[in-house]
Amino acid sequence: MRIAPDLAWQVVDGEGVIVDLPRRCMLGLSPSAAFIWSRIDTETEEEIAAGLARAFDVDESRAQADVRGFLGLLRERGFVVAS
Amino acid sequence: MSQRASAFLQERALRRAQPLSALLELTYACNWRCVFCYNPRHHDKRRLDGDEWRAVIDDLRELGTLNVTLTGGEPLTHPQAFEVMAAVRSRAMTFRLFTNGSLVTDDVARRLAELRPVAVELSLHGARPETHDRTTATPGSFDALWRGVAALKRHAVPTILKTPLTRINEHELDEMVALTEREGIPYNLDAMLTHRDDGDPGPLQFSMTREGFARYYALLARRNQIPTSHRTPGGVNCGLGRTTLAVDPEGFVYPCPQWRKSSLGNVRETRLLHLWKSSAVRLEAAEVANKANDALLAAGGPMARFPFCPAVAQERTGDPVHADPLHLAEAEAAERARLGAATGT
Repeated sequence: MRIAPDLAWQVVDGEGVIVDLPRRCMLGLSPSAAFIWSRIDTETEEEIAAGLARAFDVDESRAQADVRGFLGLLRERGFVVAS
Repeated sequence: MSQRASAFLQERALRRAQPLSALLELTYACNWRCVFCYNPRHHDKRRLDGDEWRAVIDDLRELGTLNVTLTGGEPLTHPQAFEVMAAVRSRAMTFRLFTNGSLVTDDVARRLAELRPVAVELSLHGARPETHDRTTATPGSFDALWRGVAALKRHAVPTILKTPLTRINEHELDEMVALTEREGIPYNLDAMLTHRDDGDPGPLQFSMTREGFARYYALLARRNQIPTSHRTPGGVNCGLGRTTLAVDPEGFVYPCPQWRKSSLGNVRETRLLHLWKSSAVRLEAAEVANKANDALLAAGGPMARFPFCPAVAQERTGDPVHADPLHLAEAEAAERARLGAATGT
């Protein structure tokens, strides 16, 4: 998977923002969402979940569910696409 | 874009000194000769090439930039303009292109559409060809502009028209508004002319007349669009030295698009990343933004709530902290228009 090319985005100090250029709107990312987002292009879903569990001190099963849920939302909106 | 998200982003960027917006001047070269142009010349001595711009763009990404504006001169005269735009987009930043439109063919518009700019902005200098062409000192430029606009429309590229108001075109203000409404194109007006970047005050001779300013602010008042600054004690006047930067065609970096008094350095000698993080010039400029905020609040009057550009004041009077006579005249004209609209006079 990878981030859709028709978006702009930036993550700084753990906070993120996505600019949806086709729909001309902007969305903020919470720290955990920004953590997941900034790893989409370089890590697998499992790696992201393991990293999230460590970084936010949550158990791995909850992190896996959060990552799966968030990625599902992103796919629905077309923000991530198959690589 | 959401106003609330933008304001939130801006506030965070101010605290971090994160250059959220960057202005990249690709070239001084231009095929038009606008009489009030702020560029010091119409040719480059040694402009940055595509690879050098890519290094700048990489550093912008790392510094936290989200929005890039590409301008000139006429940026489409740079042979690698599209490579630079593609580099901005490939690093997930937005871009906006300022162009005079004369080089926007169908092929150019199609390539722009593929890159998804936030907007392509073109200047309309008059409602009539003779006024526009007199301002650009280029016969046929009015028609060239509209050919470019038509090509952008055919390819559904988000397009904005804007007018730097001058004493040459101020009498056509209402006609220009009507023309852009008829064409269905978003339209912005700008009342402020500036010195040339080398300090030459020549462009100011074309500033609007007192009557022109009154007409302009009356229009904004009718639309409830008079600009306002919400200053608070201890706040900052603007993003100078914090949220904006500019890089000129030869690689000099400035702490905002207007501030040309002093440069942070040149990207050919030092990476932009290091210039931004370690420059004393940037910190001094940021301090000016604090001092201007407090000085304007202390002085009171209409300037306490009117936008103020320290860089422009610096050019006009050598004092970037206090309002100069032109800023004051504008603030007073805006205030009169606001009161006039409120009382129906």
